[in-house]
Order: sequence, then C-alpha cells, then structure tokens
Amino acid sequence: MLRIEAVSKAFRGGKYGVRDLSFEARPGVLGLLGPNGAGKTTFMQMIATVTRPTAGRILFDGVDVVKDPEAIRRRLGYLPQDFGVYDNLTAFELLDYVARLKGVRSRARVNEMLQMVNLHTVANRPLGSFSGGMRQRLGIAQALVSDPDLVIVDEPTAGLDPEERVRFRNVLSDISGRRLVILSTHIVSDVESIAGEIAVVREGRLLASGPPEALLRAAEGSAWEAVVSSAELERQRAELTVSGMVRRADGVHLRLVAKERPLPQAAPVGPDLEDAYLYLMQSQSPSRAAVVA
Amino acid sequence: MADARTRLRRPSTGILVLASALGAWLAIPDPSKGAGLLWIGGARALYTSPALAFATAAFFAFPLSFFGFYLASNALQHDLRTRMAAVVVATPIRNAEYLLGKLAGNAGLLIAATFGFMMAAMAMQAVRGEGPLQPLTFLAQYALILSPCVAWVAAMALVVECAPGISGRLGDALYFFVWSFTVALGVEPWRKAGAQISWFGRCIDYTGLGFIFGEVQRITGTSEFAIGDSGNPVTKPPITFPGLDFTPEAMATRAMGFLVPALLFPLALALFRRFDPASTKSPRGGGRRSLSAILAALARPLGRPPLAVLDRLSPDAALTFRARPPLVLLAAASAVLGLTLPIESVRENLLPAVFAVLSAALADVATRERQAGFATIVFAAPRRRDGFAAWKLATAALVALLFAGVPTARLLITDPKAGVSALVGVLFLAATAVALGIATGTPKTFMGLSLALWYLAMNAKGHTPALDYGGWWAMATPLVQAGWAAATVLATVASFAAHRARLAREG
Repeated sequence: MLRIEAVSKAFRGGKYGVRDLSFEARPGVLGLLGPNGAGKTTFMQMIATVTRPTAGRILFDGVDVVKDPEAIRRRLGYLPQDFGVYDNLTAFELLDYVARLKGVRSRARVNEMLQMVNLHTVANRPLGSFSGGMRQRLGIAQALVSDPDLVIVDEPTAGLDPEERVRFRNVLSDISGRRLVILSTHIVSDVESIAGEIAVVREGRLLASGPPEALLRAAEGSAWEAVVSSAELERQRAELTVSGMVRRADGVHLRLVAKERPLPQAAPVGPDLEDAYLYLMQSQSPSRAAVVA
Repeated sequence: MADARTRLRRPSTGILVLASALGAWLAIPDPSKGAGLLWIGGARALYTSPALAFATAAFFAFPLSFFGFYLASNALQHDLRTRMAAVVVATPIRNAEYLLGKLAGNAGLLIAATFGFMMAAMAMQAVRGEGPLQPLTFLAQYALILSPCVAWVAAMALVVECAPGISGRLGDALYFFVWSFTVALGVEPWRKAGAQISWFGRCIDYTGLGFIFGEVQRITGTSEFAIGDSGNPVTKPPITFPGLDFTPEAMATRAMGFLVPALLFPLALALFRRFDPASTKSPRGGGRRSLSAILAALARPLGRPPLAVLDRLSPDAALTFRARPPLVLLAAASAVLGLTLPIESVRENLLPAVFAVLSAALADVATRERQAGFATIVFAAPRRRDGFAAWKLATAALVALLFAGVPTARLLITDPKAGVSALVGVLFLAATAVALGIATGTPKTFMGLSLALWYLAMNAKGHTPALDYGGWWAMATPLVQAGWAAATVLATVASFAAHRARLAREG
C-alpha cells in the first residue's frame, strides 16, 4: 500500500531530518517509534505532502505522491503533532468546515465523527473552552471525517490522561482494518497493544522494522532485573541502560537492558517492547537498518 | 530587555527601519527644482538642520502615531502564540514588571522606526542640504516633537492588548477611530489664532501638531505654514527657520503629553489578567461575556440559514462570517441599505462605511490558518497547499462582494463611472488583503494600510481623483480606474508569488 524508497529530507546547512529511509507498509497499524528529534514528524509530513522530500520516492498504491500529491490528499487523514483550532468556532462548525475542505458535505458524517470521539455532547461549545484532550479527539475526528485510506497521526497521545490514551488507541485500532494507520510516538506503550508493524527510527534513519513479536525475539536475552541499594543507584543509572525502576523495602528494583549480564545479581527476564526498543537504541548503528521478521 | 531584544532581532524590525528611511527619502523633495518641505508665510525654508529636523519630525508624527500602533500592538499576543505566556506567568515576575517590559518593547520598536527615519532625513540633508549637518539638532527636535507620541502609541498598544473584549481585531479597528478623533482634538480646531493651547490640548496633543502651530506662530510671527511640497510657484526668497525653541514653557507643554500615557499604564495593569485562562474560558463554554462575545451570541442564530447556503459555494467564505457572526448582520445591513438609500447616500456614505468594514473583515482571510495553528491540517487537504493563493483570493473576493455587491451593483446601473470605481476598489481590497496576509503573516499590515488609505480618501473628499479608489466621490478618471485595476492585478500576482516563496522557504 505504501512504499518508501530511499527518502531523504535535507535542510539548510547540510542537516538531515530523514536519511535514506526505505520500507513498505500494508493495511493495519504501523507504529513509528523513535526518540525526540529522530525524524518521525519530518517523515510523516513528507507522506502527508506537507513538505517534499529532497530525495527518494513515496508511492501510495503505486502513485508517486511527490509528483501527484493530490492523489494522496484525496485519501488522507492527517493529525499533526501540534495543531491549533479556531477558538470561536464550535466543534461541529470546525469539523464541518474541514469536512467540506475534503469534499464531504454530509452533516450526518460530521455528527457520526463527533459521536465516535465522544464529543457529540459538546458539539455546540466553542473550541476555546475545550481541554487539550478534547482538542486531540477533535483532531482525530477531522482526520477521519473523509473516510481516508491512509491515516497519519503524529504523537496523538501527548498530553492525554491515561483513560483518554486508552480510548484513543482503541479508536485507532478499530479504524485500522482495511486502512493503513501510521502512528508516530516516542511512548512505547502507545503502540504495544495495537501496532501490527513497528518501525524504529533514530537520527533520521531506519533502525529496524517488523512485527512487535519479531522485535521482542531479537531482544531475547537482553532484559534483566536486579536489586541495588540506594547508594549504588546513581552509579548504576549512569553506567547501565535502565528501562524501569521501583523502590521497595529491600532496595531499588531495576529493570536493565544489556547484551550480557550487567550485574552479578542480575537475573534474566523476558523482554517487553520497551526493553526491545532500548536494546535497539543501544546496539544498532543508524547506518545499518535491521529488517526483523 | 528580553522583549526589546526579541523585537529588535526580528527581520520585520529591520524592514520597518528601512521603510521609515525610504519614507524620509521620499518626503524631502529636491530644492534645486524649486520644491520644498517646509513653507512659512509662502516662503520656502532652507534645508538647514533645524528646518529639516522640525519638518520631518512633524511629518513623521502621523505615520508613527497611526502605523506605529499596528506594529507595536502584538507584544502580549506574541507571548500567547509562542506559548511563552504560560512559562512567564509561572515565574515570580510581577504584572507591573512584565507590562513595563512590554511597554519598553513597544517604545523601543517605535524609537527604532523613528531613528531610521531621522537618520534618513539627516542623509537627505547631506545630499540636498543647504547648511551644515547638525545631528544633535535633529535629535533635540525629534525628541521634543515625537517623544510624547512614542509614549502615547506604546501605552495605547499595551492597553488595547490588555483589555478583554477589545484586544484583537476590534481593538485594531477602534484605535483607528480613537486616533482620528484625538488627532483632531489635539489641534483644538476651535482655538482662535494666537491663542495658547489649553491644558487639555497639551495632554492630548501627542502628535505635537497643536504645539507646533503655536510655536511656529510665536517664532515666525505668522500662522501661515505648511509641511510638504505644494507644487505652487515660488514667489518669495527662501528663509531660514531656526527650529523650535527649548524654552521652559515649550518643554513643559510637551511634557504634559506624557500625562495620558502615564495614566494608561495603570489602566493596562488593572485590565491585565496575567493570561489567566479562567478569565478567557468559561467552564460551560461560550467564552468571556465580552462585547464581541455577546454580539457573536446574538448574531449566530440569525446567520445560520444564509451561512448554510454559503457553505455550499465557499466554506472558507462562510468561515469568515462564522468566526465573527456580527459580520453577517453588517453584510445584510449593507444589502438592505444599498437597495433603499438614495443613490448619492449609497455612494458617499454607505460605500465608505462598507470599505471600512472590509478593512477588518478581509484582514485575516489569508492569515487565520497560520495564526490558529491550523495550516498543516489545511495544507494536507486536497488542492489547498499549492492552490492556497487562488483559494484565498476567491474567498476574499466573495466576502468583499457579499458586503459591497448590492450597493456596487446599484451604482453600476445608475452611475456606471462611480460603479466601476467601486467594483475595482472592492477587488483591490480583496487582492491586497490576501497579498499582504500571505507576505507578512499578520492581518495588521493590511488593516493598517487600508484604513490609512481610507482616511486619506475620506479627507480628500474627491479633490484628489487618484484617491477616489472606491468611487465614493465619482471623481476617478478612467486613467485612475485603470491604475487601481493595475494595482489589483499586481496584488493578485504578488499573492501567488508570496505563497510560492513561502512554500520554498518551508520546504
């Protein structure tokens, strides 16, 4: 459905936002993971035709979206990382406006979207009175109003409370079906439960891609648990990769990521996706992408 | 300091200083061709430092007091837009300190513009002068005439931004009327020749015009003086004008011009809510019950039926009215009055009012997406990124015609000459709003410039056909009409070019 061929985005001064990124994505949820500044937003902006790549091709169902951006825009729903709204419009008015921009004239569709994101009870309230979570939900509604085949959501759960994050993930999971949903985040738990494929990026390059199970298999033997004293804690944190920490009566329980036993008292545990992500960050060079299957 | 530093580092400040300098260059005609800038008793004043400093400072008071407001009144909004407001208000800084900083930033920007103008005036003396260049004289004359003006504009910009309900477009529009009114008041048109400026006049005379009239009369013994080249034949030999005196009375008079700005600061402080969202958001929605919110709530239900129709034609044009529901009522009123008023009244009264409203209504058509942080979403929609300029030109033209269409159509039938001018003027406003909006990213540029043009046209009353851009006086010749039409085409082309340049910059 979506094929990325050696896509790069160079900025002035020779800096790259994205460098030689290549992979394919099929319908379902693709989680794009990476630290801040990894190039996730730049990459998504290129697919959403908000900015153009400086090299490479982006093909959506065989159509080059750089040459023919309208082809993808007609089938696209995009929720950017940072977006504003018109404060003195109501939720209904703004969603209706965006719907019309996308060629959707059905008010029933607008109401349906508001219902889906649980904003139907506040549809006639001005957006200036909306909380951050409510705005994010409206954001996903506007991304879906035209029933797109490709949905791009950039860091959609930032600022949401736990309940809203779960609701958000459920909405994305429900809609994925025949669509490709690309969800970019630096919060691993956002993709853990819903992504069928994960791509990990760092410094503008693809580090690894594959189903979550494959990433977990690749990280097998890299997760450890150990108990350290409070006095040792700072030193261990400086020297080791810590993916979790809990203070208990008997000491500080650390979850560690390392290729080999990091501490004499460390015991191996099964890795979770966060461990696998940290393992990748630790061990992979950005110039060599691993396709994990 | 931080605010002043931020403002002075912006490219727009550099452009502002250059524009001021260009203004000085254009304002000082070549004396070798018999032209002059300052005329006293029918005689041209020689281009000495005192004369040039006095005349250019007096001339600059108008653009400084008018345009200066629109340039300076962005300080608090900038902090809100950049989200620095939330960071700043969580620090120990007191409201007074914060606002003083903003006031200083406003004043700094205006002083930078004034300085640019003054430097250019001095450069023009070096090129066209008829006496030695005296920089300190320039500084002194500028300080005497313009410092209350800087204080007034800086303080007004702050007060309007702090006042809930009128900050934003409404405040921008209101300032125009306040400025028109107070400039006239400061001159005290009722004052008899030779009479001293009153205490009230001294306080309100921030442009210094009233003060200048009195001082020139006292120094030269005549009340007949003018600034600007009249184009009349020169019949008397040139004279030397010594500039304004720094008598204790003169300085005390100008010092009184700081009184109102000094009172405006505590007013701003009283109005400032420290960006408290509780003062801007009601938990039940509906916003603060400001005047504009009340008007919007009243107008919204009335606007629904016509906007439902407009949505089918142009959702973006409908958005213009939806975002400010009172505009629906104004457009409807324009249509009704356009049909019912006598045709002379349509031309001389209704159309000027409509053009004034269009200055506000069209100002943010091309800027609202970026200002609201909505541009990325819009650009991802079909045909919007590459076709943005055309889309906005169509929106602006439609909105303009919804306001002016009925009176213009009636004029085209009954007085085709004036009707053509009106139509061209309406389209000129639409195209310029889009061009300036895309190029500058702010609605203030278009609003300030269009209101300035409106003011000049209204005051010209048709005596200058070139200024009859709206057909209000039926004085525009076919050549003038063609000129404004050409300007419309130029603005249209500039819209596309500005958008293309912006896309190239943003990648």
